[in-house]
Amino acid sequence: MNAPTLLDDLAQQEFETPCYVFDPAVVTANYRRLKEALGTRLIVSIKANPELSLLLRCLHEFTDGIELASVGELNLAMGRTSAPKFVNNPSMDSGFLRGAIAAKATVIVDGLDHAQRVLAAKGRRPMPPVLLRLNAAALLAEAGVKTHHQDHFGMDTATAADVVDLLSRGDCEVRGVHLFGGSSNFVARHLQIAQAMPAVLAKLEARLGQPLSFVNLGGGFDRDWDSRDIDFAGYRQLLSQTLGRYELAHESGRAVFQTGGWFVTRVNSVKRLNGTAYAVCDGGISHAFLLCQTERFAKQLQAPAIVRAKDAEPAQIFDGRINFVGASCSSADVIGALPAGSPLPAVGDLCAFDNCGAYSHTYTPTGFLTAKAARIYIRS
Amino acid sequence: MSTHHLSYVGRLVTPPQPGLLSAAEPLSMLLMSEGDYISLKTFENEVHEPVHLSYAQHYELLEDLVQRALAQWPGLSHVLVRFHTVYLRPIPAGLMHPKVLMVDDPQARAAELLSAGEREILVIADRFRRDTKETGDNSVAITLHSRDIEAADFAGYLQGARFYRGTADADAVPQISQVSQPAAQH
Repeated sequence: MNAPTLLDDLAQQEFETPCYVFDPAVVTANYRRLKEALGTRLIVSIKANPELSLLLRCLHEFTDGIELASVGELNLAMGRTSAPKFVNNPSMDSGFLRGAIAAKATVIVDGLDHAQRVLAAKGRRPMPPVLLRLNAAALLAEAGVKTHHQDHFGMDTATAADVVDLLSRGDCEVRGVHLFGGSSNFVARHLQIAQAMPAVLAKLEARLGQPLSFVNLGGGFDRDWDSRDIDFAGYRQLLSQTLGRYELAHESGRAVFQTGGWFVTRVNSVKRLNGTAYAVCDGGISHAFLLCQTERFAKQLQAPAIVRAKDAEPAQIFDGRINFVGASCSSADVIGALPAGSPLPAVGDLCAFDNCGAYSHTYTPTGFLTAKAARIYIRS
Repeated sequence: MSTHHLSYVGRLVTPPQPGLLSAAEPLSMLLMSEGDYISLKTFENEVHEPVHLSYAQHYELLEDLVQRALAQWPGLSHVLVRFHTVYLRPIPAGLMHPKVLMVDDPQARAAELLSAGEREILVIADRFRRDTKETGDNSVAITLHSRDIEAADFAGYLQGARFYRGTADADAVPQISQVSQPAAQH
């Protein structure tokens, strides 16, 4: 007999909607698979899903380290894991920095001003050696590789070398570097970064007068990284050849969390208008912003799985498109769609959207209409 | 009449109710000063035992064990339950029964009660982990002190308990150790 699926569980249990359901077993399995493929340490970006009730059931696996991008995330982790903590945010204020130093976290330095703030927060106290955040586009440009993706994070090599001088004068050790090549960019960039990194490290080590020991090569893994035909064996061999003397790490949030979460909303009414059917749900843009795809030029709305209400009559097939809309008065509040020829939802049906485990409930503006927040459930 | 001491020791290796949806619990702390971070850093432990339960689920498992015991063995004089750090939620009514005592060291309390002549006592001492701040190893030791309850009856009780489905023994009969000794003369 097959194990019950999430849809079975939704059909059989009582819970409030709209809600997110997170499954720790999926998250920890994702983590193990990616770590094994990479053959390096794998640091988890907690910002992808900082739900503590979920993290508590995963922290026993996340032993290589966690990346914390806010003082709130740092507070969640305090006392709960002895895994290395990496704090990473260019706008860290003195409160965040002082807390991180007291917590013996590794600070990732983003620039010259940031380095000065780190030294001010440090004062005369000892602190763990820091990492320098390198800008991926700058690193690749120095290696003669042109890239379209640009972001404002990190430094070019010249600035990083100046930061090395500044930190050294402030009695602050530098352990290594951190780099992030951009979301979903692992496939395009991982080989280029691995090839370009040694030259940059050599320059920084020359300025520092001693070797660095730690290199975080970032992530940018899609949720479906394992179906993207990546030659991991070749990549591991390249890393061994070019960066073998360093302690290597990668970092991931999306690939670890995304498939471990579902957004679930209930149909409150159904109507037809101009040949389209609309299932009006109790959750929408104020609960699962990314489902509306407002940040995309070409929308390809997600098709939810439907769990029929217990007393529902057999579904009729509808010959037009079925849109799933939320509870707000925004015309952008369309969270999903089914093509013509799909069963028409009924009032009380549940709509479950998969792949909502990363950057979903937190990447949602919740103030609109003062809508109640989506509930969160952990699936055992 | 002799007294049996029937003992079971098990360990949660998976969530005992697969597929159960449990509400996330508000567990975050407000940290105010560098001293808070320094203090909490000292709590961090190297225990890599998974957390399988929320605080609410933990209470539900205990309540299940207690309620089933009281229903099955009305002659019990005491049910001693290991007391854990409290969480900001009410202790369930089933654990507030007059025969239930929540204590830090239930085995020690049971020994005192046995010395005082009590004979029908159930001890539930779990170290289920609910938060990674805790060092629990997900073990549970359940001991029944009784004059006439048989091992088979005790095994049936354990197999029907909600927690048992999450143990490594879930598909097997519980391994029970039994010691019999004459009743103390008073």
